[in-house]
Amino acid sequence: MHNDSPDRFDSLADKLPFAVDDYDTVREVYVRWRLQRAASDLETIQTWSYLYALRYLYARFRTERTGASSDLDMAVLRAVQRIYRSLESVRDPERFPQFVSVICRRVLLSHRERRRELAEINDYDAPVEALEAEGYDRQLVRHVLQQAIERLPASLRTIARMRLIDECPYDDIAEATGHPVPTVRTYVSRSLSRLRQDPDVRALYPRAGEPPGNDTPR
Amino acid sequence: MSDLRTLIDTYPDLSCEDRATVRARVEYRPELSALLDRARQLADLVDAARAEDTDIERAERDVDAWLRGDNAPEDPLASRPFRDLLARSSEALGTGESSAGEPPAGDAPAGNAQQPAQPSQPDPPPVVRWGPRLVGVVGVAALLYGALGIASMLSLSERDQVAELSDVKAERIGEADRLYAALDAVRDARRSVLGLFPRYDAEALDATAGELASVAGDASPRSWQSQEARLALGRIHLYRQRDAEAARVLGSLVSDGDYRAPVARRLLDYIRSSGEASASGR
Repeated sequence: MHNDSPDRFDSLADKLPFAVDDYDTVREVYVRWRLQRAASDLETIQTWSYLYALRYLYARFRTERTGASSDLDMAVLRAVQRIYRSLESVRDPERFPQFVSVICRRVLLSHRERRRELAEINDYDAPVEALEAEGYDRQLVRHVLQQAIERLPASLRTIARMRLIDECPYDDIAEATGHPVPTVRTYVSRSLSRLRQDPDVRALYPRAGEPPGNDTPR
Repeated sequence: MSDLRTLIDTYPDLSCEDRATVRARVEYRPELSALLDRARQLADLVDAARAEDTDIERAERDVDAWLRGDNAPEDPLASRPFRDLLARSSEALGTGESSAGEPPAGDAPAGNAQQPAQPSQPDPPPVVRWGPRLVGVVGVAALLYGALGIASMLSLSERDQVAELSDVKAERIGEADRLYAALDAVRDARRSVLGLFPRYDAEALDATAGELASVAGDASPRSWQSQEARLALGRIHLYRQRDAEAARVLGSLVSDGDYRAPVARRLLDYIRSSGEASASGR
């Protein structure tokens, strides 16, 4: 599974033919690899997964000052190993980016937990409070939510976007859409109900009842 | 407050105070707790999507910029993890000896070409200035080197890691030139790029295996020379996937029960477990 040729890693960034936050493309590549098994697609997926994990964890370690660089190395390694081990068996290939983000998030939360235990022993090592306690990848979340909103019925779409993403007040939405405020509230409620059922959105968090680390069928 | 179910349905759209009220009310209605949990998950996502630009997103954009080859962030030294990465990569890549800021030799301005040579004076100690651009370049190098290091680790099979040929060495504690030469030959058979992606030349290893077998055969079985030679030989067989030969050599070490027996037993355990795994996989 792992690449073992040094020259294939001489420049990781050059090996990735698209940006790390181009989630639609990596999803397409992954789905194609599951169907056709092309080595070049596998290389792209591995490279993207590595860079995604590095970017996700580096950004949070840097901001939270939550550990030494060796901790960061180990966290990246742990995440990448889990992703690589699971490449063959992701249940829902269409949601591969969400799958990777869930693994990275779990690694982060697990690291924070261990760090907290250490901090109780030595207060000097207490980490800076996490800016985003839940550890979601906001870029990916925003991307997935926006796409899910675009799939809503036309009657709900604009209202959902204005309220849930742009945080517009109900009065402004009512004025902009010509609906009375109670109707806008009803539409927002319906939108939330649909978003809760959306499989792309649901893939961003672990399935109910599953313990951490158990989203990988073996 | 209206019907609790309705409030839970709209939980992601409630204010912090209203959310707290809903959570408090659900404590008295445990049958609704699962519904609230699902609502809270969506609320977390909505909150994440809504939040203002944070330091985390700025850090992610820095990484994106490095990957695109753009300029380094303005103040990359502001974070401890990055500084650690920087220091480590400087050490690993030798960039700490940078002569940044000094023009390369022979690169003097053309206008100075006809001037008489000045009496030579001792050079002042070079001043190393880590400008933002250089720091950025080194930062990218640090990231890529770290990436390569992890990729290198991942490229090693479990067998390579267990055989651990890099650990084949013996302290120079006595006259054993043939043994030392053979152990050095194992080290010399290693091929790598910048210390990454280690591999061993198969021909060189096999030649060394023959020499180690000869050294072990000539020495007393309980001597340290024999034990070191057999352990190294066992590792080579293991690395070369000759499990039967590895098991025979390592088994003899275990039987002797001397100071190399524990390591040999660990390697034998791996051979047995991998054999069982491949048998059950058939």
